[in-house]
Amino acid sequence: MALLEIKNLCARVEDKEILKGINLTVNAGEVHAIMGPNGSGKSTLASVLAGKEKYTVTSGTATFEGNDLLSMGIEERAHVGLFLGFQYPVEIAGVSMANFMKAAMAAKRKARGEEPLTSSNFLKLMREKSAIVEIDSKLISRSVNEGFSGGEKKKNEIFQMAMLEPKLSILDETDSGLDIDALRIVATGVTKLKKEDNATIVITHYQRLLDYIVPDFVHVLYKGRIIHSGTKELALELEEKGYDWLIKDYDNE
Amino acid sequence: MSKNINDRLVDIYHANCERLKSSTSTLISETRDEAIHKFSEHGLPTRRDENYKYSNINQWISGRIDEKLKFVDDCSKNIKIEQNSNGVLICDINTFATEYPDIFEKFYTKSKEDNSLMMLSRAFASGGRVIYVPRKVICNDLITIDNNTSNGELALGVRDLFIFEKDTLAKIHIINDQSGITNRVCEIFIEQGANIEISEEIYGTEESIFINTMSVFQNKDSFYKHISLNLSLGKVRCNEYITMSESGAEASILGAVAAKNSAHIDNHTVVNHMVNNCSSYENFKCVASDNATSSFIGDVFVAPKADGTKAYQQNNNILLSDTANIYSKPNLEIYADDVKCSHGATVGQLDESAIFYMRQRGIDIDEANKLLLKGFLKDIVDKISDIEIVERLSEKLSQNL
Repeated sequence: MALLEIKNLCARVEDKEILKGINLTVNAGEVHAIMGPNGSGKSTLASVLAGKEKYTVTSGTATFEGNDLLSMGIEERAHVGLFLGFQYPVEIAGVSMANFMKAAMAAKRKARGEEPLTSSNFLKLMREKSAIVEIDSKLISRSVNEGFSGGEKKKNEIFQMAMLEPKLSILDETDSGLDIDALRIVATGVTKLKKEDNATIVITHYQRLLDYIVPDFVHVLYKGRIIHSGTKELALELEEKGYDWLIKDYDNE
Repeated sequence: MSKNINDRLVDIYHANCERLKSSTSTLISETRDEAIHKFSEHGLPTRRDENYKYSNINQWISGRIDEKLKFVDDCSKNIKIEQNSNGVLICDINTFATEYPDIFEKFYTKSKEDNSLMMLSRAFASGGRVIYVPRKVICNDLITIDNNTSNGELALGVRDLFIFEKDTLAKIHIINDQSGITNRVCEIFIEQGANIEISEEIYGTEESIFINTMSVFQNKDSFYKHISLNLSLGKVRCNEYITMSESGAEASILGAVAAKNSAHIDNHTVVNHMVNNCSSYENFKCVASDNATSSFIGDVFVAPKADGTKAYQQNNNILLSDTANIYSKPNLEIYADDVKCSHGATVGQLDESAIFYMRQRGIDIDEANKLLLKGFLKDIVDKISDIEIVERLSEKLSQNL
């Protein structure tokens, strides 16, 4: 059974139709890259899958391990194993990273009928996972993302992904605003978390990220539809030629 | 027509004054008659008084006085006299007035008493606590005070008097747990170079009415920090009047309010910068839910020639329901030129993007709301220097939000 199966998904925000029939299947063990010009609907797709209430699904389906994803609440989607790496991670004043992660872990374990972690196990896990993205342990005692640099925020997203061990991670422009070193750390972090039984969707503008996170499939999203799919070579071709050749073909049809 | 509330209070005074006078030091009693006279001239504040626009004290008390409330005139019976080796004295106000008349007379009613609630408390003065820290005493141990004065009854004259002499250091923690009607006045004198921190917890039942006036008088280079957490379910009016009479004084007034159900919590602060080079920093954070009301009025007065004044004021509020009310009124009067003053007031809801972010991580919406609210208010509580109190109050916040 596919991990994620999207069929003819259409969604709008207010009166504006943004997704106009997305079809995408993601199996465990796969990495998919979604590319495409600005405003084509990439972030919207990520938000719709995560359940952001601003968007209305008008038709189509999305199933997660065979279950209807669209009928689940936001937190329920997280509990079944969907993770969204935010393009702009939110700053939460007054809530420390440690308390935030504790609450998230406890909620996940509770949903699965597991006992909460003991404090010492939790701290041990935090230490272990923070090493994956080389995150400064001082950040853990600070408020969530507050005063973090752009790079720290993105590393923090991957750190949370490492803690929560999702089945499907959707990383929305995780590479934007990163310097070369931070990009390498974030990307290798993601690679380290790759397993047989999980999958990743990477939304990006740049081939560079895909040098580290090598995709099995590359999709081009344009005007709310996937207009072209290929293997990792497609990303190289796009880097060289841009989107114009695909867009022209599509617009002419 | 039944008598109005002010006449009734004057009647209660006349019915009890002989007994009050005979049981207390003349230093306390000699000003009673004058005080009740001054009270009767103005009476309890109503909405017509600018500073009570959102809290009609007259109506609050009128509505309750008909019940068979017992008037209590000995609010200090539970105060133990403590005197520690370095000379710090804690006792009830009557004992202090009797045994240390010279010191008492120098301070009692000398802070700044010009309103009818303070006059009422002076007329009925019958209990309260004195904390006296003599010159140069560094008091590292926290002084904890339990103020459970009203006990379902009517206590009109709770008079606390805190005296911190030159170059002292002290930390006081006050727990106010109210169930009746209490009119408390706390006069605080902070002499040259003294460094004082007062933290306060306020609780109350739904029926309670708590009027809490702190009148602070600061001398040269003194430092005063006051942090309050107000979780009362009843009606609370906190007045804080600060007078900086000599240069170099600094005050920090911080408040956290969580008003729920039908609570009505009102804070009024007045900072008087009378001379040059004093600074004040105010930050009040309030949350109102259900049918509750929270209000903040912040007056800052900078006298002519009070150059070099720094006065900052911030009041941020979160409104959680359509039937809750939040009022915020910064009020700055500046008559000097060389000053730095700022004020800010906001009323908003919880940050939706933060809630989405937390829910995406699996935290359910109620828990996400709670974490955000706690984070909002904990910012204030964290400013208390005693770590055990901070932890205990954080726990209290988690339970109460």
